[in-house]
Amino acid sequence: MKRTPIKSILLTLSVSLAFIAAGCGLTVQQRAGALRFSEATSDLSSLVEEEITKSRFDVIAMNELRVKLGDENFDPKKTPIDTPLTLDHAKRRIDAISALKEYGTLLHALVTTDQEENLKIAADKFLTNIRKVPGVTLDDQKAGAIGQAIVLGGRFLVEHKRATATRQVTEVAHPHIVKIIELLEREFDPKGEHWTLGYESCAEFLITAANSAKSSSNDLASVALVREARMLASANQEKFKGISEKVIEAIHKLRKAESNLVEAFKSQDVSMEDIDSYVTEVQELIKVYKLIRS
Amino acid sequence: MPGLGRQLLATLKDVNALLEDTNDKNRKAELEQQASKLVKQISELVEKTLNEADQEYKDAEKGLKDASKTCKEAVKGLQSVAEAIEKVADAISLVEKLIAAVG
Repeated sequence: MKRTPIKSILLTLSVSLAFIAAGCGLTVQQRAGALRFSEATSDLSSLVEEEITKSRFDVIAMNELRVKLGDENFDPKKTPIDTPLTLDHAKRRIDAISALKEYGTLLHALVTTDQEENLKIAADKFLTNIRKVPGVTLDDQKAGAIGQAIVLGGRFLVEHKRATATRQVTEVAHPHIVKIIELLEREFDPKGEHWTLGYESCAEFLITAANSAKSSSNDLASVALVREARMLASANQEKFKGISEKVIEAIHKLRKAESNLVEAFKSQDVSMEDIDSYVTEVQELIKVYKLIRS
Repeated sequence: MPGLGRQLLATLKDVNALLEDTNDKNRKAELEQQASKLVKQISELVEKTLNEADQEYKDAEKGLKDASKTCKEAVKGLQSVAEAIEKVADAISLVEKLIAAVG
């Protein structure tokens, strides 16, 4: 079939535009960086969620022993058995973690999917979760910017739109993600006043109760209970010290990776090696955490 | 309770450590009572909003630091247990004043 000159010009123009558009898309490195970051947020979120649940169970076990020891400072009829790491406290932290996890999922979707519907679901989940985080306020304008960014449009411009959308989403989300990371840092700071202090106080309260019980009763069952309480409290103190150090280190690494990722989407010149090395460190720390917990 | 929570916990740990090290029954009983009071104070202060700039806060923090130091010295034999008990009692009453001030 013979092409007319106009058709040939149009075809050449289309091919050129396609190349230009592809050139404005994400680089292979940017895409890989986003995927690695998404992987790390997912792994870290699962770890923090697991730790919150397990440390709460530890606290319940320690409080149950306080009750058995007859601790006069702990009345289970007046005080919840999971004090001070109550379900309500845990839920607020888990909301923050979910928002971080959904952010990773949204980034993953942004660089891999062509289906606007999937992107919309990921963006909606992220927006819903981030709004639950205490201290994080995402106004309608910012939320709208994320919503609009993910409309990829016609297939012809999809790669260009994908790059713009990813850049826009990372920029708009950045201050909020930083706040979430700060919140998690506060919780797991080994010298902090939040989750770590609650856990450590509970272990020390158990030691105090064991000391009291030791002097008030000498029968075999009481002696065994006191020994059990002391052993549990010191084992938990030792274990939690290691855990909070590893968790906080992993959160610090994620913070650096996130900040690099935002820069990497602004400029194609920024190396992804740093993100890759931070993410590798996060994953190594997670392995160590699992060893300590197990 | 910025800062003070950690200090209260540190003092409780030091009192418990001194208890382990003390053989005198009467002294042990006193230290046990003091540890129990500190547990109550930590539980009470955990949900309160405190201002580091308040004089009561500063006094309580200083009192707890002094008590911790004396307990540690008593474990090493550099101070008497009686002296440590006295310092801990001072710290407890300063924390009580703080609790009364914040309501």
